[in-house]
Amino acid sequence: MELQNLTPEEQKAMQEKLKNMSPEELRNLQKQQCLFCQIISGKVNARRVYDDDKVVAVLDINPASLGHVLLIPREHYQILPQMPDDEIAHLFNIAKGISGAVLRAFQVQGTTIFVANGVAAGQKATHVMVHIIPRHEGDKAALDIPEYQINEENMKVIHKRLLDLMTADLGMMPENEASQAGPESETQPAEAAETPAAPESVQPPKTPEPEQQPTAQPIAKSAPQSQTQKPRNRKGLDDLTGGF
Amino acid sequence: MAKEDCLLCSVIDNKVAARKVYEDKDVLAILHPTPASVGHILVMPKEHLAIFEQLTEFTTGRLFQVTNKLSSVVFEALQMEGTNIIISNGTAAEQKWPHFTINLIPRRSQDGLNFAWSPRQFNEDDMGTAELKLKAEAKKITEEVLEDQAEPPVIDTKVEHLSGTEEDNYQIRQLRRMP
Repeated sequence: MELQNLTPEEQKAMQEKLKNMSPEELRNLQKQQCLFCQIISGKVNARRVYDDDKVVAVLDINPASLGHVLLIPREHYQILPQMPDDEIAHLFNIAKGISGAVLRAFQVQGTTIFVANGVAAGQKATHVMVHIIPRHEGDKAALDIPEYQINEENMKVIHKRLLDLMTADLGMMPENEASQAGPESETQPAEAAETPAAPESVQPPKTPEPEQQPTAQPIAKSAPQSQTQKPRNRKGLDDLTGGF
Repeated sequence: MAKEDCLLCSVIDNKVAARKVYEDKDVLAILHPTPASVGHILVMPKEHLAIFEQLTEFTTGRLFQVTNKLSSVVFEALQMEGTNIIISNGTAAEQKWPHFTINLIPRRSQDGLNFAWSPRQFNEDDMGTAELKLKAEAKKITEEVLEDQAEPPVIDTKVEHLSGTEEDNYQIRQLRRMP
């Protein structure tokens, strides 16, 4: 973010410096630059509504509605997939608690819980955050999820691709092997008149690489973390993990 | 609400067909039949619970661990650029079914989806009051997490079916938390 304020020479010097840093040093630098790490440490002011040794919750200063809470882990994780299982469980249990607190505090009849992983998903800051947003009847927030029709052929392709990768990675229960017909005939909403969300643009399948040893067990509660994952080329996420 | 009336319970019980992508004894994940994007997945507890606040600590952990894992899988398998995780909790949030679900929505740039809300501004007094109210309510969270005996607030989960097609075979009734 600060990179734009430097002259071209300074930028070049900065790039050189970054190239020569160890991953450790890079991470520390990212943390220093991260607005949310600064909020956690108290360097930057925020209206804090909850904290414990793992997470902090503050009021969003650009809220969708009054009482909009941002819940963030103390550790500088950039996207949710980086977080280990036990921290995921804690983060979302606290989100559950905050959602209840929001319902009681503002006497509303609903909350939206929202996470964005990656720029393409609307992630704005390089720090994991969970939004808990009080909702009012008929507020027509952008947060409502549209529904589209999708034809059976495309569903089949998508389903197969997912199952192929999942069998290698997560392990499936025997019931799931047969791909079953979708219930489109039972649940077609009348308002879904839009074209399908570009299933035609799904690329021809590349060989999926299993991230770890194929396993037949369902996800264990305390499964070993994916520290052995190969680094992946994520187009939308490169913007967040590389530059300043 | 009786399980017989819940469409998602019928899916869980294999009475209604769906495209399952993951299943274990606590959790089921299926492809959304009317998706917002390619690979839109619904992750749900097998137990019939309506809102977030009714979930146990264990179930919450499992649901989100599965969702998180699936988000990486969907990302790889479908060459997507990002994912959204969205829970529409309660009628005011346009909750579609009276059975708790997590929406895992894969994203690409320029996919036509936009969940960005228009930020509003509130004055210092309002923000200050909001902060105090929330702080007070949030104090109860520590006790809830420790004892796992949360007293979930009763909120309206009455869901009107949107399309009204003849094939719909479930009744929607006002849901109240069972003591």
